[in-house]
Amino acid sequence: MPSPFLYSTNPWIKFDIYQRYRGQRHWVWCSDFFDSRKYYLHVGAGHMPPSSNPAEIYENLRASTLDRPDFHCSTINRVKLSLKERALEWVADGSLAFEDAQDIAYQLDHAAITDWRPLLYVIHRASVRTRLREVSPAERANPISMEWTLPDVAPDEFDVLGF
Amino acid sequence: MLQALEKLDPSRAASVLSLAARKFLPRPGDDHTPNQADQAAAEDVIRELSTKAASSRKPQTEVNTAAVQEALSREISSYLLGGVDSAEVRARVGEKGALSPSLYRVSFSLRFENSVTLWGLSKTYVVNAIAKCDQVQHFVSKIEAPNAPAHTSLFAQTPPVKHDPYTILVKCQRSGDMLIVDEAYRVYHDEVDLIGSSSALDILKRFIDRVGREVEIVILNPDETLSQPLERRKFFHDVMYHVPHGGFLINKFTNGDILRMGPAESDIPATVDLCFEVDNQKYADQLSRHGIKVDPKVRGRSYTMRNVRPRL
Repeated sequence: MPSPFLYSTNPWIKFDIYQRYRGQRHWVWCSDFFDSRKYYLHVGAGHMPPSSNPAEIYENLRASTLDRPDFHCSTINRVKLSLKERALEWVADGSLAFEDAQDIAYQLDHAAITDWRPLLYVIHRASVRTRLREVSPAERANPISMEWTLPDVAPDEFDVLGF
Repeated sequence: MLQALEKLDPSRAASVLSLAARKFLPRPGDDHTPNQADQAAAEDVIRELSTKAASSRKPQTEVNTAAVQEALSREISSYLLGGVDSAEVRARVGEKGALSPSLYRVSFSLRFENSVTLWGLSKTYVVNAIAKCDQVQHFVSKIEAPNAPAHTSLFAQTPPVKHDPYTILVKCQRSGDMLIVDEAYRVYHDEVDLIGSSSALDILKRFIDRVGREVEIVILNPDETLSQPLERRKFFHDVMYHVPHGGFLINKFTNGDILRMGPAESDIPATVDLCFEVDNQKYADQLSRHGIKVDPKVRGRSYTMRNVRPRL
């Protein structure tokens, strides 16, 4: 029996941008387990690598933003690029005004390091089951890990934790 | 601008930048098939950025990838924001409440200055509480109008003190990237139960529950008769009223202040974003129990409402 929840770690600023500009529907990359280093009730496929294990992503992002600020954090740079690219895409498909894309870029470029602090999304699997897209083995950090994407998880389908 | 983008029209440049960025970003299930010309242009962009990065950094693949990602990120910003007045964008982002707290400019309203002996907090404390806040809430009204007053922002910060813990609560008007501080309070944890408080607004509600007074909201018809039953409570937040054409929305505070908004230009909804009144004596008593003397004899009330034209 799979876990009834899915887990995803995302920076606060990504959460804010989706809340503000995407009608509170969030694109996420998620996994069956919070921490594949420790299994208790539901046993996983094995040890997920640090880059796709939500617990380790959380720990690393927390260290880089709140504990020991790292202004060259590669995760931050990658997510920043990804969100700007998304903004271009949304402008192209007509779902975002150009002015809002400018505001997103400005917000990302001028955000305080603490705006990149991690948040943990706990997603109710049954509510999103039909919209889950399995990440192909080639695109996973480790081919045997269980990873999914969800294009539009809504507020009544997940909770957000920051600790 | 990158040479690879120079000859492209803006929408194609955006598409090429987007494509170049995707080369560095895993995108499961991405079925987007770019045309070959865009694909080639995206590769040119990456090549140009890689060459620049290689000349300025160590030629290690890992370093180069990170450097190219950063350069690409800057290129997208420059595409979106190039030639735009950055102060204008900053003001727009600020108005939305999307700036980091430390990036807002802070000033103090006449109300704050006139009651400076009441707050028990210096301006330095207030500015610090905003920049290093633990919680912030930027309110955006449901209704917009050209004559609407500024939005409200609330900040809460709990300084790391060993004894007698308290939270600083600051209420500001937000106009563009400017915060205008109206009020600031010390909320002592042994006076107001903050356990489980979920937001700055929640802290304000609990504080007003202890030291607030009931205020009254009255909606009048043009002939000054009651349009709907008056409402009296300690705390109004995000309440919408229907004000009839020619009618008025009136706030009555216990200190005798009356705020009369109207006549309404048409049958319009109006929101009271935030309305409360602090009992200054109760607040001063709370502070004096903690060894802080303030002057309660200043007039205090607080309100933010929108879309009702003030009477001229």
